[in-house]
Amino acid sequence: MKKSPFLLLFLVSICLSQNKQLLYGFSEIPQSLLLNPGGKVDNKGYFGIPLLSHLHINAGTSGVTAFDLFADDGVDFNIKVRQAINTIKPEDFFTVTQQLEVFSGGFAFGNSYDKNEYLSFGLYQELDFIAYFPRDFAVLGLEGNESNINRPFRLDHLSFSAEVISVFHLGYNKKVNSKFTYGLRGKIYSSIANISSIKNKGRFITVPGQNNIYNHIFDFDAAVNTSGISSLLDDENSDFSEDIKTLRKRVLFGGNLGLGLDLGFTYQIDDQWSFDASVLDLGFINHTKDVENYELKDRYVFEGFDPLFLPSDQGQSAEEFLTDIEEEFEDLFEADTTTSRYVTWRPVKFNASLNYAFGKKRTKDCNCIKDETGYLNAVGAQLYAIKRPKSPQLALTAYYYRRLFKGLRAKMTYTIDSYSFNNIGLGLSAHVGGVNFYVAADNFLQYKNIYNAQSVSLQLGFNYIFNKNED
Amino acid sequence: MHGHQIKYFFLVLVLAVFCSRCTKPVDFDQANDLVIEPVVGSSIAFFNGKANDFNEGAQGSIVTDTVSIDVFGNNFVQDNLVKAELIFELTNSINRGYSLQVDFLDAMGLENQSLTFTVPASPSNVPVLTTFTEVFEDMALVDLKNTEFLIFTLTMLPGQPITQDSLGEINLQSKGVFFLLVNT
Repeated sequence: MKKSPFLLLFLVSICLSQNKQLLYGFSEIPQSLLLNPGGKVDNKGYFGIPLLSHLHINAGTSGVTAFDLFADDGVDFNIKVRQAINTIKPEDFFTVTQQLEVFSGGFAFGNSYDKNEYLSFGLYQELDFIAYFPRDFAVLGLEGNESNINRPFRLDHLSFSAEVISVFHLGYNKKVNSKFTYGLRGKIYSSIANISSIKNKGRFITVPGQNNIYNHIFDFDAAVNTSGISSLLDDENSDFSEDIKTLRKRVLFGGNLGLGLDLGFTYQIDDQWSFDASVLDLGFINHTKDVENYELKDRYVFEGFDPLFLPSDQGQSAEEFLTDIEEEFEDLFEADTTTSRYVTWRPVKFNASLNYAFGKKRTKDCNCIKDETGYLNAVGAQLYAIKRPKSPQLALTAYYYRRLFKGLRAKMTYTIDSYSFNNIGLGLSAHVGGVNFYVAADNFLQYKNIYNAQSVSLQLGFNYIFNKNED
Repeated sequence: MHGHQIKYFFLVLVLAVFCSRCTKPVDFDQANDLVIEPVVGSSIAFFNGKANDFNEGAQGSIVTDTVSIDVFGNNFVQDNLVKAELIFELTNSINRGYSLQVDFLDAMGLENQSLTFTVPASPSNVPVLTTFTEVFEDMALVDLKNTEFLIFTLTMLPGQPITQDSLGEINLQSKGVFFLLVNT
């Protein structure tokens, strides 16, 4: 009977926003400290089961879904593609985030009678990808410029970044008094590979000309920065095991390094109300090693060529004039390759929540634990924001938390974000002795048709927790 | 009592969610059906000749030049160009008629197309616009794709003598409209 809810959790098979709304504030799960270093801590120590302590996967699209395009509905695919391109805005994006904790742990320290300080640490790997929909490029490719005279095709529609990093972190948490807890976490990032193109400017536009029917204006200022990629691609001997060795080194501080900081606090307003907030990944990575950048920066106006009446002061034949035009075009589309260092900023995240706990445990169920907080339920509202290349993405969550059986905690969330207005999530944390297993997934309403899901997210992991009340 | 109800509500919910997961039919092979048909417009040749550029009395006068074009040799154009239109706009305000001849030559220098357009004289120096559209499809398109040289020849037709003080201009503006069909 006791085991049945635990077994139930294993029915959860792989299902797929960097928003961890289910994990935030879920203080029984040690990894919640990664979302707020100043969160409440209610264990005296823990260690994560190596490689199994935290897995997080998220994929999302704010525009069309796979189902919109690939539904087997007899509609001509070309019509669906054109409809999709007309629907998607250039602010629409695709994201993928994945995290895998390699190891983690934590322990309480301080006065032996009141251990109110907590150190936590760990190493995790993270993959972060975001691409905005390059709508103008798609329209130009699909329609051409002839039906789009006077319409600028903007280069800033091309915006994407992808990064694989490893993060070593050390966090400090202090419960100052019964009302206030704060914490901070220092991070060392080691970038394994990075590619980003997020500061593109310029445009291509065709306008009616003076000397000729059209003036074609090419005004390009675009760049793609990469680090950690060219050495893997250029590898002459193409020895895969060498590449693996290189990657392993980079995981352990051998990559391009950066620094970051997380800050957070919890304020207990009264017995039942509390407020908390955190800022995560205030940091940067300095890309100096294995850098290869491609830059396209040029302006050229083409209005055709004059085969007969060249102004005499130019002193060149039509043939020479045309050769010049060809060279101009070659320069225009030829990217300069540089190896100069560049800096990427981590996507800063902000979390805050207001919580209300209620429903005391009845005395007849008393397990005689003195200082356990007696409330069985909590409701609250959470705000999440992440800085992205074009604009921040926001999410608002309402949740209900409940202690179910003795060792089972559940949290249900309803979230409004860039992806949808009907995201329902469920998180469960089971505690059997010191063993903790947790799993959280959202967007349940869309699981009826996974291809139509705009975002899916999963977190799970195993820990061993030294509970305060065991000794 | 109340607590138990919530517990079982949760359990039923979890079961319901995990049992109801499924997918509706999708067909990813549809991606192969994608056909894109961009239409590219590009300025081509232009010129702006003044009356006194032709200051040669009453006789006809000829201006000509050859230019090499390597756009059509491009593989992408060879494979995906399905139709082309060349549009020539001649505006004449000189009191002499003109003919413009455009010859299309292949890599061997052999002529595979020749177009000739004529504009009438403008006795009162009012600009006269004449537009010519040439459509290239089928064999003509093949010839166009093999073109590597263009010869432009502007001939002033016989008429009233042109002097240093003669008024007017002969202008050419032109564009190509290229219809592409890309089957991915």
